[in-house]
Order: sequence, then structure tokens, then C-alpha cells
Amino acid sequence: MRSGGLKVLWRRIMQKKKEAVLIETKDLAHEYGRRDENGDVTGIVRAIDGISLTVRAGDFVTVLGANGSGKSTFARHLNALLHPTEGVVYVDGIDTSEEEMTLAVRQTAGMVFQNPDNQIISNVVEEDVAFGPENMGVPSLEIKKRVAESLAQVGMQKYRHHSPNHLSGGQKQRIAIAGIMAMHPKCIVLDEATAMLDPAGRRQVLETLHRLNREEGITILLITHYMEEAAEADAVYVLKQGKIALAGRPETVFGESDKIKDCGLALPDVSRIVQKLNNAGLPIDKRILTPEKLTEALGRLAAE
Amino acid sequence: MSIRLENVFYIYGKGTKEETCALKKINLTIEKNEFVGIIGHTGSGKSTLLRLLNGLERATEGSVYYNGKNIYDKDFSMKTLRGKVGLVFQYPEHQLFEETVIKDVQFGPANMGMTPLETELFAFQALKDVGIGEELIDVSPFLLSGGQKRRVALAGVLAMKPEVLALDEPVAGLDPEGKENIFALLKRLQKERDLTILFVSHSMEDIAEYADRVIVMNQGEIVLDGEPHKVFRYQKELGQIGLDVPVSAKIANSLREKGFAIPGDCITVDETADAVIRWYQDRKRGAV
Amino acid sequence: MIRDITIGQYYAADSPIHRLDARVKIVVTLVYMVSLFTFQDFAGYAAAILFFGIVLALSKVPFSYIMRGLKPVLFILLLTGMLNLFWTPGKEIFAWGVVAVTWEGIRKMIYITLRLALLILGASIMTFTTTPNQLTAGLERLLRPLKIFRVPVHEVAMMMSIALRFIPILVEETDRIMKAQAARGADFESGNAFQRMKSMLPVLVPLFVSAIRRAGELALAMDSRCYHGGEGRTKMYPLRYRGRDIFGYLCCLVYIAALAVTVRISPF
Repeated sequence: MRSGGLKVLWRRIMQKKKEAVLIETKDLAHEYGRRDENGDVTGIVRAIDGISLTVRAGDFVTVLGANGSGKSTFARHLNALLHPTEGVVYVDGIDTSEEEMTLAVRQTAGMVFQNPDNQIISNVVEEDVAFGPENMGVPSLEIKKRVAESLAQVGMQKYRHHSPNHLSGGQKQRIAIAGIMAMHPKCIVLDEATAMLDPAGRRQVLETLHRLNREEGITILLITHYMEEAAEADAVYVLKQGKIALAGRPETVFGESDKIKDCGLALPDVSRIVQKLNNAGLPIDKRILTPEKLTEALGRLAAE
Repeated sequence: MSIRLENVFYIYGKGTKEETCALKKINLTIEKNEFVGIIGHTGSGKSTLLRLLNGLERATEGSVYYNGKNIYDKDFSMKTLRGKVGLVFQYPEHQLFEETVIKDVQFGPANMGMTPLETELFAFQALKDVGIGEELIDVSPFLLSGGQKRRVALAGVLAMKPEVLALDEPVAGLDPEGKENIFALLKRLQKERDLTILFVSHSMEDIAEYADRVIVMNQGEIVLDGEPHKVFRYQKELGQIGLDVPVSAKIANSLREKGFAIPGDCITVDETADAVIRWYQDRKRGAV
Repeated sequence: MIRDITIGQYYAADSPIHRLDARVKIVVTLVYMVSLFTFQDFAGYAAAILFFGIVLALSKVPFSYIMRGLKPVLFILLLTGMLNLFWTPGKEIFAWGVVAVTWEGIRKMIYITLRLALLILGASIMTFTTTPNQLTAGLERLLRPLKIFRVPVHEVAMMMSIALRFIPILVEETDRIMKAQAARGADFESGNAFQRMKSMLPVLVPLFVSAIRRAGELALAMDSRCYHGGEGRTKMYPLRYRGRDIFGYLCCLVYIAALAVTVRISPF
């Protein structure tokens, strides 16, 4: 344990020297054995196939992909829930395949899953938030402090003594985020955490994430198939069949409408309108992503 | 085929301190071959409304008529009604249970008392309708992808030969491609099989794109009901109950406020884009 | 039906009983339940009822609410009462064929029914005033000595609290699955027992599949939150005895002493 601690320290110093890279994957590949009903391996599926990317500390990164694009498999690597078949994953300088460092990885990059019900462990909101720090062996007083802080960060302090059963999907996901925040992570990975929510719930979760990113400097890695959720990201990666098909700033990625469609995704309606206007010869900046910006741009066009 | 709801109330936990009124004084008629979208917040009563239509939930007050007959009459067969008004739940995982896809789809028609021959025939037809190929019919439904499961669940209801299809959030959680496929399928069923379709959705854009009629619910009441182009004119009223209009409508409306010559019934991407293009071309022509 | 079962439910309130350490409540409840079997006389029952009455009054749980807990077991209570009433030999008051009502029978009926009722009420007052989490934490702490015998105390407690969390979810899910199958014409009500059992298959299969999927996802979520068994784990609210808990134990001792005295001097 002690030597593990020293190792982290050393790596962190080395890392700081280079640049503030929080997550780095190099030629990451993962293969599953496809099994038939008897459990015999009948084939091999390469769920992700050579993903190399870096996430800088403090960034808000969105990873997009249709079902079966490998985005969930990718997420699980960042939390050491899966280990690479090929390639490496570094989380805050730690190689995730080092078994004695697993807990350190999970503490640094916390993970929120898709189904809100299946990740809340306790019958009382505050006890659920305390679950992570309790596992880490944080002293009781400090846990109490962290629980109060993280519930405030997600705006759920009112529900501290409630049962999670009567909360909405969006509220449950915010509790799950608070549970991660109480572990004092550097990064939160969200594996399709908005997929089962209604629009109001999705908005709540996204607002919470952007606030944590802005105010607490938490690095966010949001994995989703809703393109709108990528609009305000610092960087966007689009996965297709386990490979990165597109990468860049949202404005650039959203401009590639044919490729987006090819990846099984759909452009947000604003981008689709902009694209149609462009095709008809209207000089509108194709990087426009919000209705407000579009009406402004058209207003300027009218004034010319 | 027609469904009529008259002064329907639905109250949960009557007499307890958690008594809630899920539906309040609902009056509604659904005509044959309509494609109706129902929208509202979680807890607005839209799922309860769907379950009333096939008798799965019983109204606390008021009556439901199917083809003019009161479904709460003693001699009315609820079982037949369940076959006529096919209800598809949000999660296919809640209904798939058989060893193979085809067996699962046969469950409904067999329950309806159809002969084994009919059962098999309708099951095959339903699977063909939803686009599940022959290579999948003997596969365990648990091995299918999310989108495929949803199709099989839909086929399981279609095989009962319903006249009405009522779907609770048929595309929630699906990726865009999966979503488009399901809606295309529903549109085709409406046309080719002469079905009446009702679906509950959270997406204004989906309603604008696909529904012929939209019912807006809020706290157990129907607040707006009509053709989407008309309903989405009430941007302010919808905003007051916390609902949006489709993004395209929002853009068109704010352009019109700015004085653009854009008609008031643009609710889809195509309509708004076309209107703006027309405005642009008119202006250019005017300038020349 | 499911709604009627109040055992295991929590009644939120702020009372001296609610504030007691869960261990006190578990130990006292156990002692109380055992004590119910140590006497056969009026004075003993009077002491037991008095003790229960005081605890109930202090706990702020409404009388009608706690009595609802007896509803699901009403049948058993009546049955045992009846059996004792009719089959106890003694001085006959009234005879009708093989059955006879005796003075001893009446007394026994009252005592047995009272004992059963107090057993259930005693257990429910504990669950009403203790959250499931406090309860499992208390059990875990009380059973810790068993670790020497390699009993996985922490794991069992963890399993209990997870079960408590998921029971309402699975009950709701069962309802939804039944509705989904009913929409396909499934009939759960008619037919003989065998047919009815068979008709539950379309409900049980999806329910099990879902439960297994949930278990898998939950395990993953627990892993990712650094769960690695009870080793090195801390608690937000570690159990610590306070003055009031000592007082609780003392009250229990007083009850035992009173019982011992009354039983001895009781004329019956």
C-alpha cells in the first residue's frame, strides 16, 4: 500500500511536468468472447478497436455513439471495471491495468451509470452519498462534511433524509453524482446517465454537470447518444464500431452532417435547419448550434 | 372503430392520505386511423390514460366507450378489448419471457383464444411487419439488441390483430436510428394495416414530426388537443406549464416576432427551413 | 394485501424511542419477546402490557397504526385462540359434541392470543422506530463477535440492506410486468391452482431476468465506488452508546425485575 502511494506521488509529479492530462488512452482495444446459449465461446467481438485520446484536466468532453458503437465498453475502461485487451489507459498517470491501483483509479474517475435505480445502494439519500467515502475509510466527521457538501453541489440537500424511492429519475442521478463527488474525484465519467431520463431530468443533470465543471473544476466525460448534449462541450468524440470516427470542437463535428448520419446519430434540429439554409445558398455560419444564435444570424442577414 | 371517454376521473389510493387524482374530468374521442401523440410531464396522467383505453386500469368515475359500447358493462368482454386495443409498454424487458422470439409473439393471440393455425400465422405476419427476419425467429428474445427487443414486443401485441395500438414512450432510450425506424414502422402500420395509433412521448420534435393530432396533458387534465400546427402556436401557454414547443417552431416564432414574413405554422425542420428559404428568395427577388 | 404488512416498515417521527441506539432496541426487543414465555399469570401479562404501553406512548407511533400490523396475522390469532378455547380440558361451562368450553380454555385463549399479539407488536414497535439501515448496522455490530467463527457478518448485513432497498422496486416492477402481460390477454385469476401457477410464468421470467440484470449493474456500481468488503470500511454514523441508551437498558432491567417479583408473588 505504502509503495503504491509513493508510486502515485512520483507519477503525479512526472505528469505535472508534462501537461495537465487527466485521461489518456493509447491504441485501446477490447475484445469480448461472443457466447452461445451454453456459454461456449463462438466468436470474438472487438467492441473497441484502437482508441487513442487525451482528456485535459478541467475539460468537458462528450463521447457520442449509437448503440453498439462501443461507448459503454470504453467508459468501463476509465474506471478499471474492464482491462484493455490491447493498448493502455492512464487515469491521472496511473495505468488502469495495475491491480493494486484499482481503487485509486476509481476514486479519481468516478462513474455514473445509466439506470438510476441500480446504482443507489441505500434507503436513505445521505447514507447512499456516504457509501463511497465509507468504502475508502474516510473518518466519520469528514464523511458527514463531504456528504453535506456534495448534496449542496447537486442541489439536493433538502432530500438528505429522504428515501430514494420517491425521487424522480433526474433527482436520483443527481444523488448518484453526489455519491461520486463525496469521493473527491478529479473526473466524473457518465455512461449514458441521461438515456433513461425525461427532458426535465436530462436538463437537471446536464446543468449540474456544467456547474461542477465550471465551479469545482471537475473534468467531465459524458457518454451519450443525444447530440444536443455535446453542444457546450470543449471536445467531442464520435465513436463508430469501436473506432473514433470524428473528433474536434462541437462546431466542427456538428458540421460533418453526412458522417454523423453515417454513425447512426442525428444532428440537433438547429444544425439541420442551418444545413438546409446553407444548401439553399443562405450565408449562415454552419457552426451555429442554438436557436438564439440562429435567429440573431438571420436578423443580421435581414439587416444587410 | 372509435374510443370515447366521458367525464373520466382516476383517483389513486382513495380515502388514504396519499390520495391523488391522476386524471380529472377527461372527455376525449379518438377516431379510426388517427395518429395521436400524447405529451406532458412525468406524472401528468398520460400513462394512466393509455391504460384506461384497454381496461387495464378502471376509471374511478365516468365511462369509456369502445365503438359506442360501455366497456364497464357487465356483458362487455375485457379480454376482447385487450386484443382490440393493443397496449405496448415502454420496456420490452417487462414482457419477453419465452424461449424463442416466435413463441413469445404467439403468447398474445393464443390468450385471445385464436386457433393454433391463426396464432402461428398472425405471429409470423406480425414479425414480418416489424421487420424481424426469419433468422431471428428461433432465437431467444433475451439475446436481441435493445431495438430488436422493442420490435419483438411490438409484434407480440400486433399478433393479436388490434385495431388500436397504444404505445407508452415507444422510442425512449433508443438511438436516433432506432427511433426513426420505429416511427417509420408505426406510420406504415397506420396506412397499410389501417390502425389507429396513440403514443406517449416526451419529445415535442417527435410529435411535430409524426403525429396528426396532439393531446397535451398537465396534472391529470387535457389542456390542449388538436392538430400539432395549431397546438404549437400556444408557445406561451405551453411554457407556463413547463413544456416547450419544438425547436423549429421556437425559431420560426421568434423570427416572426422580429418582423420576418414567416407563416405561423412552422413546427418541423423542413417547414421552418423552407419558410426561411422562401423569405430569403422573396427578399432577393425584391432587391433585384 | 402487500400494503397491509406493516412489519418491517418505518414510521418517521422524532421520539425518545426513535433516538435510541439500534442495538438497545434489538436487545430489548429480544429480551421482551423471550420474557413473554416466562409467565402464565395475570400479573406477568399486566407488567408486559404496561411495558409495551409505555414504550408505545413514548414512541409517538399512533395506536391505530400499530394495530394495523396485526391485520395480516388476525387469522392465525383467531385460530389459535379458538383451538385453545375449545380443546382445553377443565371445568366445563358449555359442551357441544366433542367441543367443550371450559374456564381454563377461556383463560388460555386470552393468554395465548395476548402473547402472540404482544410478540408481533413488540417486534413492530422496533421496526417502526428504527430505519432499516440502523437496524442492519445494529445487527452487524451486535453479531461482530461471530466473525471469529468465520460468519460473514458484514456481508450478511450488506445483503439485508440491499434487499430492503430493492424490495419496493421489485414489487413495483412485478405490478408493471403483470400489467404488460395482462395487456396481451394473460389471465392470472381464473383456473385451478396449477393453472394459476403456470400463468405466473410470464411474470416470473421477466422478473428474474430483470432482478439478475439489476444485481449485475448494482455490483458494478458498488465496485466503481470502491467497495471491497467490510475491511477498512468506516461509517458516517458509527454506533456509540450514549446516556439515553444506558437508560434504555436500565429500563429493560427494571421490567425484568418487576416481572421476576410479580411472577413470584402472584397468587395464580
